[in-house]
Amino acid sequence: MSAAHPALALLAAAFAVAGSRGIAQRVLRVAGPALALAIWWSLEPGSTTGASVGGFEVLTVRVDALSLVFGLAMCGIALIGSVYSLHQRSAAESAAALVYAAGSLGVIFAGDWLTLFACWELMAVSSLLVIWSGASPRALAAGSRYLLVHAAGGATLLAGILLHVSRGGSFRVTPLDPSTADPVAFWLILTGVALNAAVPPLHAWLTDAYPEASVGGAVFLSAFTTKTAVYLLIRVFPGTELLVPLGVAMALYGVVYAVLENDVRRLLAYHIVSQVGYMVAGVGLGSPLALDGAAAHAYCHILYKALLFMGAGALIHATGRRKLTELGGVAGSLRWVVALYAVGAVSISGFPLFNGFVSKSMVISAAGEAHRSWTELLLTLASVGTFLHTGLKLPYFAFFAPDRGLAVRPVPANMYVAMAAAALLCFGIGVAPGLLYAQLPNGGGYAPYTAVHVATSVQLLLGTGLAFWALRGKLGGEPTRSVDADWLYRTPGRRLGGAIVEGCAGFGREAARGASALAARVAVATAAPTRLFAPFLDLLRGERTPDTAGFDEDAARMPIGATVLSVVAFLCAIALLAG
Amino acid sequence: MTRAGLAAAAVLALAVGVEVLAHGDHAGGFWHAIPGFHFVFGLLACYAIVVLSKGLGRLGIQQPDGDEWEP
Repeated sequence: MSAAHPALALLAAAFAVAGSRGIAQRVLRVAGPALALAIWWSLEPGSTTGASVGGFEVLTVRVDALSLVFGLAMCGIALIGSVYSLHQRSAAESAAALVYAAGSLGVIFAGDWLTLFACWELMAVSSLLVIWSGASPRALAAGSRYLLVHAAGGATLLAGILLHVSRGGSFRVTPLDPSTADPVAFWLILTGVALNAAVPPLHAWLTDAYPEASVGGAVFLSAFTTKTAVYLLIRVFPGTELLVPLGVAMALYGVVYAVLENDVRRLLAYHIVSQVGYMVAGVGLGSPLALDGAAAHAYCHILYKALLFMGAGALIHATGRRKLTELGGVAGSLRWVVALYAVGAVSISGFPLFNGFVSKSMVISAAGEAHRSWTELLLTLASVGTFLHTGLKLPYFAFFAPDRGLAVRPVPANMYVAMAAAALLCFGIGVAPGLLYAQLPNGGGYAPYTAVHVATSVQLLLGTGLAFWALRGKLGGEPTRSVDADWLYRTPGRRLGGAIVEGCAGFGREAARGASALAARVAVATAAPTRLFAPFLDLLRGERTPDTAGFDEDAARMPIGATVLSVVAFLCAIALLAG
Repeated sequence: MTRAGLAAAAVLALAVGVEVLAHGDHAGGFWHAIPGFHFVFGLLACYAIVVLSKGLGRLGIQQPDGDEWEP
């Protein structure tokens, strides 16, 4: 049974948006994701769409439980993000954002490696345009670095895919078994996907670029790239042991850097790294509960992280400031923004009744069931850091810190509508987790609302809250920037690149100079061949030919006697040969 | 103690009480058998995260947000 592709609605909308303006353009920006959602609704598990291309069975649509749950999240957030950014007038950015969402859906529903890679790269290029649409020098520079990193990641993934298929691996996107797959192909594909999942030290593109996008663009960015990579990890690398320590390291890495961060959206970006760490660890654990937990947490994370970015974006839109050291005293003017941000904050922090509580705990419980005490404890530690920064530090210092006399301009109604929709979904899934669990590949099979789980979660949050209150004097923003892995290509890498370019240019200059000198000598020798024999002729004539003289035909010309002699010799030779 | 502090203390007491009364077998680590562990863990973990992060920042991770970072 063939199936339509939700991405087609987004691509069609993107083309239409690029060629329209005004009300029509805004309608199209919302209609595209709405139509994609309607197509998603019509998809039946087990249905496929494909064709034979050059002997390969290309499957552009493969519908199963995993692709459906991720597809729903992507269609939904594309709609919410489009509504949120309706006040932004850039047709190019809106079209790029829709293509970005289409690329993500293309990867999620791809049944073969060729389709997957094409959509993977479509996602990379369109997300770059979204970043560049930030239209500041910092956005342009961050986008250029983003391009550099993702070009390397894409090339790594492509090399892995080509090697995998050429060594007899399946053309279909199926789980890779490290014991049977080509080991080089396995690690190349894993590295390419891990880069998009922002696994340290391959993560710095995210925290570098996302805060530089426009407020609407950042909402799209927060959802698609990393979660599409998580989807692919679940699909291809379930139970890969290395992902457990990597996921735990990610969860803690983001938390540590968030303490030091002053930029509100960069702080949230570090928490993307941290939250994706839970998903990566869940994939590595590999049990049905852990894999469902990774998928459920990706779904919930897309919603609450978008809500947090929307709240931060509304704050930036209203005040024009993005750093904690420049913000404060605006809670009274932005009550609804504070309230809606708070829903995202309690969701990511794992408060009962909100979606983070019902998804994050699945991965932590899966670690407990696997008797991995350190994994369980360290992931719990990371969740303390999440509440500390996203739930307490950021809102306290951005909204409630002493008034700095900032002028606050109104927040557009479309921003509120989008934030309210995301908040409603965060709460809805929190109180009715069965709706989400029923969509999961293994059926969820998890009971989050046990008395002990609620009680221990409340204790953890209270302990964190008490510590924050005691430490709040030390947690304010500082006018600093944290050195991260991007330092490698921002400082020594830039210098090395500059040195290579300068070296090549210098070599080129010297080569050109040498070639010019050689050409000059050849030109002189060609015009006056006797110059080559000048030393011998000088001996015959008894005088020295001046070196610096230009072309002098008298000097160049052979003596008349020599010409006569050579003509006579030539004629004698002919006569001898003829005779 | 402020009203908010009293409310938090009451909620904490209730949470620990529920944990003690409803405690059953748990597949996780040993600490699940210790009533109130999660409150103490949250408190100490928060301190540890702040101290560790600030320490790493002082060791060189934090740099002045100056021109050298600009594009």
